[in-house]
Amino acid sequence: MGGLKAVFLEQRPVLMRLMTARLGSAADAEDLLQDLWLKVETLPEQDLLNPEAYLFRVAANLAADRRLSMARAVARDGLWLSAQPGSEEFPDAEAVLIARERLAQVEAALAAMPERMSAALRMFRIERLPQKEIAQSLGITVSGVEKLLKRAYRHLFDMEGT
Amino acid sequence: MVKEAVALAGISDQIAEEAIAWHARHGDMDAAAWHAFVEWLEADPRHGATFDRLVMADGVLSDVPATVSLPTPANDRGTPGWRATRWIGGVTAVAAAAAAVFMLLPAGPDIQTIQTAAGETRQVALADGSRIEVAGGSRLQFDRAHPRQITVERGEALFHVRHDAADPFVVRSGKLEVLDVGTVFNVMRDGSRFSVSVAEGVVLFQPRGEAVTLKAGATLEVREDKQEVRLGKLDPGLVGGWRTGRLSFADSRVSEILDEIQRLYGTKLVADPDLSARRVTGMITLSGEARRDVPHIASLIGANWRADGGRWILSPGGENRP
Repeated sequence: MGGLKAVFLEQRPVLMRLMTARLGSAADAEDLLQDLWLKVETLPEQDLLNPEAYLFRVAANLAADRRLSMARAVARDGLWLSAQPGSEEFPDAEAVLIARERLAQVEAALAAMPERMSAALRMFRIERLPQKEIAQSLGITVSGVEKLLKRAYRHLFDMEGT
Repeated sequence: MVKEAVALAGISDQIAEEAIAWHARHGDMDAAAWHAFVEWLEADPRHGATFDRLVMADGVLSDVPATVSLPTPANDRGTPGWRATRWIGGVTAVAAAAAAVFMLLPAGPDIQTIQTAAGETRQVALADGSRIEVAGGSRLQFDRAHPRQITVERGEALFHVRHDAADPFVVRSGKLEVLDVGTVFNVMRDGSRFSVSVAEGVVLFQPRGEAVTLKAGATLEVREDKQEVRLGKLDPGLVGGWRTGRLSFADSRVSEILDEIQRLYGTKLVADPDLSARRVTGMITLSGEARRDVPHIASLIGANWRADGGRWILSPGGENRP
């Protein structure tokens, strides 16, 4: 049996606890854990320096994706919005407006951030660079990068609550 | 303003700081740290709720459009050029215009899926007379209510489109779009890579954004992970060359080449890690029969080859060894 599968089975109890804590439902957690298992099964054999960390990372991302896609469903009608050329076709104009407002808020927050902060955020979040590389790129220390990211996320976090 | 909000929040401010700290560490944690994170989540219901809110805030960042600027007309003289303006934090006019919210496509009852296994091809005829030649390892979707709007989730397809100005034919892939203006064009999606090549007619890439016109002989490649776009030239006769085993590579990584060959023809090649990152420029004509193709592939890459069960292994070196 592949090394990663063995690690999965070994860590399954904690993976399950992670999913349950993130999704708030054991049934949803089981579902997602099954998705993770399928992913592990179809991955080609690769040499991972830290297979446990890899699995937990993938699990956390799956949970985040699930939470985000749930949030995007229009709660009232359970409908999914689609990107269509004619906006008259949107079933819930209000939901679209709210989402657009939110996006505009975030974009404004990004624009208002000091350039180094939004650059660090972009490198961390979009380019998925390790903090060491971000530090090199910006010419600051790793702890400097950490501080920038923490402040950036604090801005976004506070806005999310309003 | 932010400080006041922080003061009012009281205890949850401390939790917010912890959540942010955990989130920032996610890329560098070992098994023990992950266990500790789970314990932190379980220790207090507010921990989980706070972390969730942070993830939501983080999630919106995916919807912020990247600003991509394309090579200047000078590059159209034939040499492909790389140039990209990355999202820094300012929002340009183009990005603002394109800030329509892109949500997930509906998975309603009228969704048709066209899927091929590695090495399998399929011809799809649409009711309007348009035709799609689908390559191996592909997955396309469209809503039966909007058959002239097709999504390429992964893989590659050559489109023969019957032009209709009143009902434009659109191909989407992730956040990218190609609008047809009466054409034959090839679309490829593999992970964060996307390309469109035009054999006949004209397409419009990102009609609601950058609106780049691509004519016959033009090719455009996007690397979303690097926020890079490359415009180049491709002989119209080579567009959709996968149909006759003709592939061309321009500064492509060996790993990508082998993935493409497996997807298109089912031939499983594995490269020594030292080879994977090597870059190759050139053309090759494959028959689809591994025994005949592998030596040619190895020679294109400058590698040795050997059989290993159902796979073929490539290792550094230049001479073919049976």
